[in-house]
Amino acid sequence: MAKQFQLDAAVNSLLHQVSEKGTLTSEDSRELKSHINDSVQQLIQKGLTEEEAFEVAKLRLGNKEELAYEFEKVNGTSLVNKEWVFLFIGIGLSIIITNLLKFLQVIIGYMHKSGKISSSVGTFLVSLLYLLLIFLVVYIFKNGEKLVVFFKERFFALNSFVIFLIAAITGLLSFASIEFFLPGSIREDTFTLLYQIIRKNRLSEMIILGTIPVTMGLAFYFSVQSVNQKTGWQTLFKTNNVGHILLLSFAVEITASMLSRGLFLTAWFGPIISGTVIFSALLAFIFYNKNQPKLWLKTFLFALVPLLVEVIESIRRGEVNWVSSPLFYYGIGTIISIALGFLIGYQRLKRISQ
Amino acid sequence: MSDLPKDLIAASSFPIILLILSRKESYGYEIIKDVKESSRGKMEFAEGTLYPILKKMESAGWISSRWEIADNGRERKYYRITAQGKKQLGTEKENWQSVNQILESLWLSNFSLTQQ
Repeated sequence: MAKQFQLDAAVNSLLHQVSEKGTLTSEDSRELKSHINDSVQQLIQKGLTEEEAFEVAKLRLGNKEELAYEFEKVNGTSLVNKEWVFLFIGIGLSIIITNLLKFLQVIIGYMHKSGKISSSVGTFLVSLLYLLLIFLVVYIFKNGEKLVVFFKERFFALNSFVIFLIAAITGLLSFASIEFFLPGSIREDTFTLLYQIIRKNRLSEMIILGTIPVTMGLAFYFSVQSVNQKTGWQTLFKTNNVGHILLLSFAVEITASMLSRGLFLTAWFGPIISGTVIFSALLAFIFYNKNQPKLWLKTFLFALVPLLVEVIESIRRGEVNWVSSPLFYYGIGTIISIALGFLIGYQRLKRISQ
Repeated sequence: MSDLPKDLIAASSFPIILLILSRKESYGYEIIKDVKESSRGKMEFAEGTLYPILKKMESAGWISSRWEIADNGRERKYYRITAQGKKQLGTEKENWQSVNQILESLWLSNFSLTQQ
């Protein structure tokens, strides 16, 4: 059963293997990809088939380990710097944005309390804020590459101490929460009011709850894309990175809870919706990873976060009747999906070892 | 006529790339082709290793780069030499010329020995 050779997929997988060693920036992969494509094109013109051309181009490119090592010598420190500095900046930025949101929410709550706006206008404004937040996130991730390059070249080319200082100051400044500056009474009043505004309208509750999974999904999608350019939405489910898998499953878990809370009034319907969302995401995950070894391990990781959330939730609620616990239904779904993942992954492993 | 040893290729890569880029703006694949052609195939190296070298040269400020999208929709990263790179090329030229001189004068004095 000869499989049709897919040049783009072959190039992506080769680059993925090199970049897995963690020494390539996404721009490096982009450049290598353009090189391989040029090389393949030239060889095809000389009469080779696409597949032969790719094999020759691969050989000429050089040994994967050597390549990764050479790039490490150039990128090593900047990659390390990039990672932990962006961790700091990321935390700082998210706190600043949260503060900004809170500040605007307080204003909306205050205006509602003093009768300047109605509660439906308040609901609309709060929902709008969260939608804007999603757009902001899209913008940041879309231009992430440029931002990284900007920081790396203008900023982090300095030295580690300066970088650390900048990151630390950003982090500290952003920890000064807006709530500290509000008198206790106003703080409580406006937040209670806001809570009522938000809970009154299911659509607005869904928008506000949805910001988190959408943000995480986007974070995941764009970071996978930057390594593997021009890939479809299925990349969302296709990954080798442990962090990505956990992030994705967390996003799925929150999406499930968002839909079950926002859409359905009867309490018993909620867990079923949760289970359906989580289970279908698991199936999609298995489907798009079916060609990769150790699938069962990945599936287990994918199931880990929702499982933990359900365990914590069940303990928190102090469930005595374990049959009524969401954990019970969730457990069944998880066991089935792990078994399925294991079977498909096992078949795959058997085929590889033959 | 054997291929040049790895160390020698590595040592000479900066001036060679600078020379190619001083003639015209170029991208990785084309630079490799130019190197191979002008060395008549004696300079054989793993093609991918050119890119870290270009990166090193860019961070030293000798060359600058920009992405360009060709008519067929494919993108390429073009490099051009900077003023600083031209200065560096001058230094490299002096260095290699003096190495060349040393080798040549030593070879001349050893000429009779090697002929025996």
